[in-house]
Amino acid sequence: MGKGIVYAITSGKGGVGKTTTTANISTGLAAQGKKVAVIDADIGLRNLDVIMGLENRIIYDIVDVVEGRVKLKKAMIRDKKFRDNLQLLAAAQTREKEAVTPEDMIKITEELAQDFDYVFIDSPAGIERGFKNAIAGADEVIVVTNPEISAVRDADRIVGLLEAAEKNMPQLIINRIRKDMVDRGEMLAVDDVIDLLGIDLLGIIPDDESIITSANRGEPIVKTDNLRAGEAYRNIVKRILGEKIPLLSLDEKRGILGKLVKMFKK
Amino acid sequence: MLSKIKQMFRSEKSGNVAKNRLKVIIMQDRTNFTPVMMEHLKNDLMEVFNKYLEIEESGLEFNLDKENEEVGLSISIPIRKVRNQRRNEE
Repeated sequence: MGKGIVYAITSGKGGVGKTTTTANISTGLAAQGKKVAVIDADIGLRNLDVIMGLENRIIYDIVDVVEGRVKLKKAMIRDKKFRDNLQLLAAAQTREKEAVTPEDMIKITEELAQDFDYVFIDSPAGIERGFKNAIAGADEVIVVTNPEISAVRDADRIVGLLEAAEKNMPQLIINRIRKDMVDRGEMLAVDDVIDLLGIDLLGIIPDDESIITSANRGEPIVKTDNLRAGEAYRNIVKRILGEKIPLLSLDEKRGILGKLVKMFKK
Repeated sequence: MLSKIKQMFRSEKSGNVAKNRLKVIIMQDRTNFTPVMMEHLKNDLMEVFNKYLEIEESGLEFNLDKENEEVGLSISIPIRKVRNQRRNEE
């Protein structure tokens, strides 16, 4: 296999949906038959394993690899459904961000890129070591934000830092958009955020409580057919694969029938 | 009740308020350009310009602007007249 593409997913501000986005995009790409590795770079606060439902399978973590206790291949955790096509390198839970250096990350991502089509790195919040680690080996960066004033401000800081680090122009995902609020003029619209940040849009995700229920179950929503946030993530996956997909319409289509269908699907 | 009526008549929606506040905040973050620095720069530049030009000070404009992706300083200097000054050629 040739060299895979390494993506870092970052945001600056915490709680905007980096981990959910990482889990969904990587799962979605695996569902499309791609071979995907995911790295949780949030050492000390790992969660990607939980969102992906793999927490019981962790034996080794990234610090074990960096400190030479185990070979990288042996530390990778295979997904329950996609097996070899979706593998996670977990963060260490009882260590600090400084246990891994940007040079370590470059080594790990280079090695993974030999075997995988895509490597996704889930960055921690902040702009310190964890963030620097996450972007060190990345070819491409995805910035996740919410249509909230503090999240957009922090996203802009991240864009500036990526520019200073001479990374490719990042792509933007706007998460947790509430159409009802945008319509009332009480929430930043998609175009406002794009205009303010000045980077290209990769996709928009509507606010959807199914994100929480799917996290409860450890099943990324991208796998569920009839949910809007799942559809939004599938659109992003297709764009990453090079397809031209129009933006998701934010209109709620869910009437009584839709709700019934949803109930029976569960 | 009264506050609800007041709210109804408040013209600007919070989405727009957020957008306008962010424009300024982001510009300042990007440039790390404080109002104090701006004032110093203005004074220093005026000293230079005054050597060559007589300036209409009331019409002076110093603004941080966003053009495409770049934040820039736009300066507008209304000139009253060019000073008739002999420069020393080097």
